[in-house]
Amino acid sequence: MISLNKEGKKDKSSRNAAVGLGGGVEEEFQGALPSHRRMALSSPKEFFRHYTVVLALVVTIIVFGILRPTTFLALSDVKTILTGQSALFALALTLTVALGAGEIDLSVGGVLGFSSVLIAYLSSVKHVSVGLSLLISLVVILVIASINSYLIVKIHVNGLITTLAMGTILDGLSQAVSNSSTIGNIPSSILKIMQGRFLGVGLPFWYAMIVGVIIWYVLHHMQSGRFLYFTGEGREAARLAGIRVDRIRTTSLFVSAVGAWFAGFILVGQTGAAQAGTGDPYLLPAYAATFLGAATIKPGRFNPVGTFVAVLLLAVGTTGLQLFGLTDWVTNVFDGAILIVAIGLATLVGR
Amino acid sequence: MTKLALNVEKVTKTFGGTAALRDVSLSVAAGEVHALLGHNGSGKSTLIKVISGYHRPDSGRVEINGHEVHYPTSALSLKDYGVSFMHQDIGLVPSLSILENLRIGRLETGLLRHIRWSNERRTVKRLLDSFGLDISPDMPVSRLSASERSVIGVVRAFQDVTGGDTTADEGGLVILDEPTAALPEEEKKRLFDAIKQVASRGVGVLMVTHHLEEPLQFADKVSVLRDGKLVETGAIEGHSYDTLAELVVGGSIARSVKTGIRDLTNQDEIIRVIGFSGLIIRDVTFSAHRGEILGLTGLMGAGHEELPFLLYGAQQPVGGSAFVDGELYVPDPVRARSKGLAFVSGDRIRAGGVLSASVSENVTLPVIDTLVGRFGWIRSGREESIVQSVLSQFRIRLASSHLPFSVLSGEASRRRSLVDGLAVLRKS
Repeated sequence: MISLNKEGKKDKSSRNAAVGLGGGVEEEFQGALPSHRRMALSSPKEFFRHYTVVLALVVTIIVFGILRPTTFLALSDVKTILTGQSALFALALTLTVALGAGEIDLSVGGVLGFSSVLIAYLSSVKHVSVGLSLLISLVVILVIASINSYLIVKIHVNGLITTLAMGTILDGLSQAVSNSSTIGNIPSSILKIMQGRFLGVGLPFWYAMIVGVIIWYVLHHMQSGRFLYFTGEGREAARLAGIRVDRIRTTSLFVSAVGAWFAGFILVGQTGAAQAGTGDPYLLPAYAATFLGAATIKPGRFNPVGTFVAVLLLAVGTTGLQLFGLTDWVTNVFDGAILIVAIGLATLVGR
Repeated sequence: MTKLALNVEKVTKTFGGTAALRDVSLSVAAGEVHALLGHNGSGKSTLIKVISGYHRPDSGRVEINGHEVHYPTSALSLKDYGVSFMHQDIGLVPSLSILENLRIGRLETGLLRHIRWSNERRTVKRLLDSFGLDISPDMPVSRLSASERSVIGVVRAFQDVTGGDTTADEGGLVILDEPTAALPEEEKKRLFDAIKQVASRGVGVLMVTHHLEEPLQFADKVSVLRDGKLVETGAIEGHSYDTLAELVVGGSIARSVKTGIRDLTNQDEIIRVIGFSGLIIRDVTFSAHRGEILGLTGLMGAGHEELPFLLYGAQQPVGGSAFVDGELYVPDPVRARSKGLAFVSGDRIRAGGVLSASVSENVTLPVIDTLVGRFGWIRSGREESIVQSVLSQFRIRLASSHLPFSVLSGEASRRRSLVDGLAVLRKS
């Protein structure tokens, strides 16, 4: 929706500007040829190309709504879903930045788990003040991001393997720090930050939305976003165009790491506990959502609005299936299937 | 009556509103060497891609050896049509032997699927002999000279369309895409002889080139493309270098090119390069003045292609220093931009732009910082007006500037690189 409005505005202003420029040629261009967005709406094929995932979300909601009208369409359900997916929103939205810059960061699951354990350990076991716990854990995550980006960007080690290994290391460290048990007794101030509600929806969701809007603004409307996409889609051409490619890649890896840290923070606050391995179940859905998001709104490009819609689709889909009594296993099957569908779809619409 | 190896009928192909080919018809008879001329962007490569089944024409049809090409087509079905392509880089694997390069995919196997090497060696030896090549089939391709490689490429193409039978007269079509690009002048003749030999065995040959003198040396017929239109197709007899040049360039432009030599000695020196060295070049020193066009050339591998990359900082120089406007300049793309240096790469796919990003994003990339308004917001209205004026300036017609950059054909994206360059210069 956001994208649609924006493009509509863009369309109008661009026409004015072109006419203002005064060249007859420009007018001919503008007059004779449909703009991108008008094309998107006029031809059904283009419409589907842009809004497949949105339509899938709508269809899923309608189908489950009809099958389970009493339980599914309840407003409280919507609020529960949004609140429950806050960590995934934060993780997937920041991961969109890394993927947009062409970096595949598989360590985010490990970072998420490690930061939650670290925050819990420091604040609950070691009785470090909440602020300091957060700060220390953030610094640790920044160090991890520095190692990742140093290896990947400076030494040109394969990023896939580096981050996969880093994620596993962090899983191990999480076990070491937590002594492989659950850390409870989280200070109430953390719970307060994460368990409060606004408009009936948990605060973490709103935090994630703020992050998402900032990412959307930077990626779609700022020079740095343009540079980031160029880096991701054609690193060599971007470098030759004078874009500081290394800096952008490094930044993007920091964004995904800090996003994962924040998601870990959200989880500690929401569940009031932390244990090793909590991050892993988030890795695949985050990738499923970003790739599915890349197949919509701006097809062929990792974009935050698409990611947002995709997280919703994942959440609605699994919740719906669970309402049918299908238990936990369905989440994994559904997420995995969605990832495959997503990359298939992204390949098809990206053409 | 002669059989047609290739028959192109009224082919039209447009990309995003730009007509790359307009109503092009030409035919190649069996046993004929047909040269296809045209400068960059004339539609040559598009035509080849239509023939090879890569691009579906908007209208018109293509027949190879009497089989109509259906789209999309596969490499396999092209083989059935009896056509083989040799591209500029020939596509040989240097570390493998001539035999392996020629016979890969068609190696003769015996019981238990083992390769019959001795039979293979004999077959290849016979084939090489028939082309007057006295080289061992086991010689690795990396040890061949440039012209020998190109001849091997032609032999392979010949073998692909005839099955290697040197006596059969089955027709077939061989398409050579600028086969002389990597060849020094004195070695071209060997290639031409091989091509003539292929034709003498009843195969039609279509050779794309932009060297005007080449068709005069050995072609039977010549076709000339200009701006996507076929401006000439017929026998080579009666043509001279000048008539071909006029056809390729178009009369009016040919005259305007002839400007006099300008005296630039009292102009400011804009760039000075002292003792530049890279992977190939050693100790290169030169300077250029404002308003000067400095040409730099050499044979393939001589290093002239390396210099721009070094100067732009796309590749690190190992030695030497450069001065721009009298100030020391350490090559690096970011600094290059701020110094007003622009780089138009010959490698359009990798360096010319980002294919999946939109045309608009690619065009405004060099000037994007001038489009930023309050809070860093890119002013899309201004962006669009810049894009439209650049597009019209370069006469590129597009349905929408938001189409992916990949819709522009090769030449148009090269133009974009030029746009890049202009934009940077205008800025500084």
